[in-house]
Amino acid sequence: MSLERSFDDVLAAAGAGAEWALAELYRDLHPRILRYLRALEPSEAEDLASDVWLDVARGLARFQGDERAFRAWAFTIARRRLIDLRRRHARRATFPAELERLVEHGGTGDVEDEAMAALTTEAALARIASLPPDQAEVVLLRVLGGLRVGEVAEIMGKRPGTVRVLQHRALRRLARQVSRELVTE
Amino acid sequence: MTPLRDFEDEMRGLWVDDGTADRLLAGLVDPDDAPPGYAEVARLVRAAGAPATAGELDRELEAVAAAATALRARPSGSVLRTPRRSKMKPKLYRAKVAGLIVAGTLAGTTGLAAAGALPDAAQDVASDVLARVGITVPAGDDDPASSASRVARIATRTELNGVDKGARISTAASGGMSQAGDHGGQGSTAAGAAPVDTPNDGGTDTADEASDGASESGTDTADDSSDGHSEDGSDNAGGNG
Repeated sequence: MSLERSFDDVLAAAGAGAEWALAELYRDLHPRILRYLRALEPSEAEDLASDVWLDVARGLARFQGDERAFRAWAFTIARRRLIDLRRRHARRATFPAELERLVEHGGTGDVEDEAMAALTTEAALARIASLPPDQAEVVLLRVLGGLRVGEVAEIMGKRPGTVRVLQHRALRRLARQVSRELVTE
Repeated sequence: MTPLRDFEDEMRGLWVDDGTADRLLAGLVDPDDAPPGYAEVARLVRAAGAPATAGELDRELEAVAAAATALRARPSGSVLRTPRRSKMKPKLYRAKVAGLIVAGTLAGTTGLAAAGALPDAAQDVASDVLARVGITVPAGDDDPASSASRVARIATRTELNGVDKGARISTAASGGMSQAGDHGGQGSTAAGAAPVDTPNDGGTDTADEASDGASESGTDTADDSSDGHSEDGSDNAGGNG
């Protein structure tokens, strides 16, 4: 997922209202934001992602920065939208149905092939979403946003060292989960 | 996660350094080349960041149109802001409002004072205060109705009459600006002696008294010398007086 033209050109044209540029930004940004929100708040992800896109569009004219800064800004908006929603609902994120299906799905035949076939994007997101919330968010921001540790730390309001610890724990937990499944299968 | 679990992970070979973790999360590690135990994690990361599906972009046209509309509705360079209450601190805000009220009251009072429309007591105070800052407004008893009643009282009083009454009325009506009373008094003295004798006559008598008649002799001498022309001139002078 990367822009075909220079990001600066696309951003300038989009800020001026050029629909081709807006479409290019949307195609690059929206799936990332949608996946992030779907992993953390599946039932509201579509509406939230639409709101985030409109927030981004309204702020385009005053945004300054490179492509990664743009993504970091968009994920910051998405995260704030998510926090606002959760405050309104005063409830925790629902457990993704996709994860339940993935966990219940038994392996058949060759383990490697099965895993590769079953590991769709939705299943991968569901597995990441099963991590403790902070670990899940670090992995999602790093994988979907393509963001660095410092950028993730800034979005989450944590220190970079804390983010590093969280990502190490997340990776090990994912590795253990997969190895357990492989053992049980 | 506990130190014991970390130790167990390290024993199982699940410990990776920062660089490897960064590459894994960036999707740069091929599952076949992943550290032991991380092949599935590498696959998972790649699946999570896979290219967008058609379903994820099925609202593209609507979203782009909505974004274009939102951009057109907002002039370039403007800042997004939701309506907010003033950021001014409450105390400062209250002080400013109080200041505005005081200023408005002062302006209104000054206007009324300038028009002489305040009650007498208030008008006196306003006149006094404003006079200190160089603004002249009538005093409480300077209003037209008050002057008129004072003139009426003087006009109906019996102990004054003639020039004195006129002078008093003039003074009252003008609020003390007219000096007609004083001038009228001086004028009445002169008017009491009217018609005024010619200076020539008075002067002749004075000269006669002062000179014990010698002056009169001089006058006669002058008459004689001028064949009566000098006396004629005196008569002319007396007529003019």
